[in-house]
Amino acid sequence: MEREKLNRFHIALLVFNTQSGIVLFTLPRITARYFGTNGWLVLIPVFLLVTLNIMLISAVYRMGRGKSVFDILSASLPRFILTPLYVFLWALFSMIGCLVVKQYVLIYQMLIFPTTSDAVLKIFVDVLVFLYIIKGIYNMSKANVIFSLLLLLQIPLSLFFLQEFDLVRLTPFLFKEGTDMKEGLLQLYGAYLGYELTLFLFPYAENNKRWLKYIHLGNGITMFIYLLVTFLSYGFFSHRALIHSSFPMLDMYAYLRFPFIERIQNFLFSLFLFSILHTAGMYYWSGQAVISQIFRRIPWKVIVFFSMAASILVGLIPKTLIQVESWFRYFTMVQLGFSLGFPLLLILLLLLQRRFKKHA
Amino acid sequence: MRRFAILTAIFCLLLAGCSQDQRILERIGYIETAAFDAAPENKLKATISMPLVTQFAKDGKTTDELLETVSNSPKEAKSALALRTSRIIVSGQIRTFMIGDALARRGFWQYIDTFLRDPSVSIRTAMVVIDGEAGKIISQEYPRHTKTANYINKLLQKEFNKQSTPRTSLYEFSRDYHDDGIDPIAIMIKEQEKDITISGIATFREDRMVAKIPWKDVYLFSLLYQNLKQGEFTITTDNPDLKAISFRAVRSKRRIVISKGSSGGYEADIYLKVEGGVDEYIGDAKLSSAERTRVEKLVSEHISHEAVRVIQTLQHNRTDSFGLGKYVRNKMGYAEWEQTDWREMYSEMPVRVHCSFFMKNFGTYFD
Repeated sequence: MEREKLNRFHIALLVFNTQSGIVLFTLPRITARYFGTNGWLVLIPVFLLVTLNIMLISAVYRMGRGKSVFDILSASLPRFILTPLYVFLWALFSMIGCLVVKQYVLIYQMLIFPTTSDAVLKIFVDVLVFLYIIKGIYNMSKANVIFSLLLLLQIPLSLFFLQEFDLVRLTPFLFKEGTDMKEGLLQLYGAYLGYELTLFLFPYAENNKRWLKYIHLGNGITMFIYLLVTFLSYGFFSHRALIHSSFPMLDMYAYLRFPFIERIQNFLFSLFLFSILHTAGMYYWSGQAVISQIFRRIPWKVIVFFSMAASILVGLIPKTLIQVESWFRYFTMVQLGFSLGFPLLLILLLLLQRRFKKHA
Repeated sequence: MRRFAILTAIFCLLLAGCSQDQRILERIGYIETAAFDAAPENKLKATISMPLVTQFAKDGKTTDELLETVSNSPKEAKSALALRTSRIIVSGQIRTFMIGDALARRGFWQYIDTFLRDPSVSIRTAMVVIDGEAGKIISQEYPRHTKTANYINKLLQKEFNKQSTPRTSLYEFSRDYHDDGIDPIAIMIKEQEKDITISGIATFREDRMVAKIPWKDVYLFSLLYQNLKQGEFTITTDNPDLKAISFRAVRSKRRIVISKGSSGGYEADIYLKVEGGVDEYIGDAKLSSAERTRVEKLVSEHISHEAVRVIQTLQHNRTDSFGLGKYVRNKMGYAEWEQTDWREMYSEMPVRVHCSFFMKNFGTYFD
């Protein structure tokens, strides 16, 4: 039987949904705080940087002719180097997956269940994440179509904000009253992270290069949503008000009122559970993919279970949103290094392997 | 697989037992209206009104619980009041914040903090300044109307939706408070004999109320403040051609143009395009004839003239409620705007209003 391949369009949605998530709620504030007036514009250059990074990933695929990244690594590097690298990556991905859930749960707790323990709420979500991952990457990609639709179907809601939207509030000033631009760039780049996991999808994608374009499509959808949300909130609040709003998008949701229902922000926020499910799922799945290279005998579902169990314990340490965010900051930096460094390392190895072959 | 599913279900049910966030309607008291007044020694007098759902209510009617205390902050007041009621007080259903004018003139941004911080408080909650004491109004019963909190809430929502006054909710107030080119406003109500009436608009400088636009000028204020889609207003003058005229379904468009005058200072031109159908007309002209244009011109002139008067009052009080500052700011470079003392400049800026009024129809009476 021919092996099932990931649909290209599913890959685009996979990338989109891994990238976007809870960051949408804070993104307008981050741009306003670090870049000041019209900070939403910075999303475009960061998008271009990410595009370059994705091109690096595509280059790995092209040069390696679709070989799995693990095959490329093990062809040139000895085991004693690879094992610590794999353990490191596994820990990194599992922790990011864990923190994504933790952050969501802490906001959820603040909004809806203020006195319920966040550990309990987190276990609820973790159970879902676990059930999601063990269906395997093909089924994840299919389920994710619906998850993504749930997010994308919220786009028409932006029409409701147009009534209060005022271009005059945007001001003609460019990046005035910002604070730390470098920090801002880091955070914005972090908002786009998620595309780098496509590195592990090589063996599951179709055998031609066409699907690589769909990574860009997913990234493009992400940028579109990010721009839409930040641009709208700049005109809806003005950048000075944005600075003082922890979750500008929640405030915007809170403004919505339908004839039949009011205060639907809690419902809409709950919809983001699916995005979180997918983001965390993808990171745990990638962690599993990496560590399976060391423990080949252990069934992968058991590995997922143990990675989640291990990260739950570590996830208990940060108690507040601010702590989670500062943890995130460090992980983002490491993940950034991975997104850039890992493809470069692979390309280098491929070049060496090619030369070696020629000489042999 | 099936065993796994059952285990998961049991697990989830067990976890659900850990939740302490139950909300049972009969056990909670949701605040519908919160009223704040100035108290001596920089303190705050808070009065809250909660409709109670009880199984022991007489003839299926609900009752309102009224509680009052003096404290340093709204949430301190809440905890003090919590000691006096059998219900768990929650803020999730607050519809109206009422602020007594003494407190409004003292400044109250510090008390707004909790309403922006508390995620259960809606940013659509109406902000109202009371002519007089806020606590007194909600503790009053108005026998000819529904229960007071509900009466005020419905009255305001109706007027906001009709666009006869600008909407002033927590969202607009905090947004305009933060923006540097506009000052916030709030609608004002007062007690009038046996009823409550909307009495005007409170205009603020930062978070301090500085002036009041009386009700008769509110339609002008609305025209200057926003684009109307369904307003209505009445004009009365001494001119025999225009003793009284009333419009419905008023649509208006506001355009603000900032330019540099010959002296180098900034000047503002406000262009108003207003159209509406005539509902009532007392005067000598015949609306079905060419005399209509004369009336239209009279109305345009009247609006322009009166609008300038309203603006001058605001300029005199140095409160920029229409957001002229936003337009001037966008005309300037950033450095220039930073150096400008906007309030000073605003108080002396020449502002002209050009209104063009257009009568869409004159109703079913033909004269």
